[in-house]
Amino acid sequence: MIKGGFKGKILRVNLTSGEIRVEDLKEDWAKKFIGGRGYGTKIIYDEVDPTIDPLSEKNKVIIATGPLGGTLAPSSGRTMVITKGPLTGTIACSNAGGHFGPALKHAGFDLVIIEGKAKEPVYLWIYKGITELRPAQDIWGKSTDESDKILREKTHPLAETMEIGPAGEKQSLLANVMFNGHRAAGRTGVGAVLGSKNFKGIAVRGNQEVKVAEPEEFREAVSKTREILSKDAFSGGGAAMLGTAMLVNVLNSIGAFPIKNSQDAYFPEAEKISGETLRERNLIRNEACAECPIGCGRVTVIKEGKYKGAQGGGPEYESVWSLGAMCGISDLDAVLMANYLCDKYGMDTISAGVTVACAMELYEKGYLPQEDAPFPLTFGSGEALVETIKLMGEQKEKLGKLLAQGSYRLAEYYKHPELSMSVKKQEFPAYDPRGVKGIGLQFATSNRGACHVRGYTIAAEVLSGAVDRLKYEGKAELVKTFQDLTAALDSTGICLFTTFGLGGGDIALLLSTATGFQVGEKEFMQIGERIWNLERLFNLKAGFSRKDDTLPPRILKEPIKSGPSKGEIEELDKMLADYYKVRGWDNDGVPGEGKLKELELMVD
Amino acid sequence: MRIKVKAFATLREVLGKEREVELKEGALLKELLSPLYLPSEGVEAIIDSQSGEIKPAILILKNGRNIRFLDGLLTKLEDGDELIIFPPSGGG
Repeated sequence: MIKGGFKGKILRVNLTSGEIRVEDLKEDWAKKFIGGRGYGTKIIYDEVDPTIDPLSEKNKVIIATGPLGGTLAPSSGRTMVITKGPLTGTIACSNAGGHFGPALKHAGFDLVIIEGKAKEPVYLWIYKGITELRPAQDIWGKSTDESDKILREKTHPLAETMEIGPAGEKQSLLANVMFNGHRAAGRTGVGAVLGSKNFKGIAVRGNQEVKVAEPEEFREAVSKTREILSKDAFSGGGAAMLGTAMLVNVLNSIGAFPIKNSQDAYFPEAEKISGETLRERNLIRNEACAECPIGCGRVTVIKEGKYKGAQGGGPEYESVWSLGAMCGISDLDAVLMANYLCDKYGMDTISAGVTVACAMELYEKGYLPQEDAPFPLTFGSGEALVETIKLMGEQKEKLGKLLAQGSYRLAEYYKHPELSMSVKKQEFPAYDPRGVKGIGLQFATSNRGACHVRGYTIAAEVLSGAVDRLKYEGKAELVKTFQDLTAALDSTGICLFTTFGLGGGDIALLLSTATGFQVGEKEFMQIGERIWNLERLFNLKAGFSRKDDTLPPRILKEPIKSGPSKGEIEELDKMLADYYKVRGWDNDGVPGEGKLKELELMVD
Repeated sequence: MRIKVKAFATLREVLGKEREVELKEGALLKELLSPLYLPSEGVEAIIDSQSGEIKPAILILKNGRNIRFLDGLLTKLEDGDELIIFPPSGGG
């Protein structure tokens, strides 16, 4: 019997039959995998054949929060979306902030399993013991912010919503899942899977309390962790002041800020798209997720020019980079507009921007012929950016349809796949591995394709400066530690940003006092390692192997041309074999029997 | 010799956005990070007054390299160097 944290109930929704079933959460799974990403991955691993087409009826989508969601634990607003990802073909887990996760808990559920395929578009309404599938034809085709509004009109004005936009409906491989039309579970194309199921989204409202196992001890752990976060210079001040875009100047100042499809890694115009400039020119207010003392979210407006009056959430650091510097663009208003459009279409800003950058290089090099381009796709043009995002979002013309499949498939179509800055077909985030060695190993080995938040070594390699960003030694261990910590953290329901102030021990204490499980820092890290290995096993069964743990040739061979990291390339080979060894995997990256036994992951 | 000093985020309020400092040849970083050359409020924000060391998570770059991996406060400065100072940062 689980004493607290979890609600102990799972909602299984079969869209083919229309049947909705309530199941019990398995205590032994919760102890081994916690909730969120871990528990969701275990369901996918057990119930979904890794070799299926991700957009077929056989795929499933798990919407999950963790045991800390809906409690007073700091920054506990996360919601995870777990499925087999259509962009990569790997296991996929994408997560968002906001208030949806806690609302799901308050409605009585830890997670929702969406399976099968509806004949007509539907949405799910969860409220005070009512769970029903309702028709969504009249919402189908609407932008995510409109969908959010309509869902609340149809259900409850204070409902929390999750929705896909036109990109998901049209099964763009860059489609995300949005929450309240603003917060995005951005990566890996999770929105396309819901689109393939004719599933528009969920509205949820509840008023149940989330009980914790040891209320006194939990309260103390909450006070302690909140105090740490509020005293920390980043989480207690800097994050609210500048948001994540504060990193623009940091990464550019070390010369690891990719520009023009990673042709270089230093942007002389970075200041124009920085967090400092965004605050001066466009910030309306901050926005915080549930129980979050950090409050890094932005709401911004365009005050002048042809996009005057447009407003929305963000942009985050990743988005100002992908839609800005990566496309050679310093026109912040165009970047903001592109960011708002991506949110409306329900499209991942990172992959969208990097795909535009790839198209621009293909165009400038003459590989993408002029007859396929409705307008010149030139680096640096804000107008070309905004118009390309529209083509991509609406899948207009031949180019729009190609763009909607992401940079790898686009570049492959034009016979230059090496120009896609991606790993396992998922686009890079905003860090150049040539200038920060460990993050390249992280991109190469991430279980969901190129990704920074599977293992944010930037914290140690750049921000705290605990290790030298240009050295290879020790990076295998560093990457493993960050990957394991994050996998466990993503299973609790709290935000990764808490780790700028909190350690694994602090989070384990929140988890233990909430659930009654006895989890120390060591056990917490081992749970993370277990999840990481389970994800790896899924990917191996899906056909991935060592050859996929690599980086684009440009990163491995072309030195950075200018700036503080000039001359650097990424020598991945100096780290990869070490990484497999540190993980207890063989030379092909396959977990050995000893490791699987140690982690209680029996191979079937 | 002349050294360019740039500050970002919250440190701009106490150090200013950008300034040029005139130092004697061969000066060390330690000498530059003093009220002689920079606003005292700015120095207080980056140096621990008790230990005299750089405060945790303050990021100081000399021409893009973290000075922790050069010679720390004893890093030798040269004419034309660009020094960039960030407060504790995060995000992603």
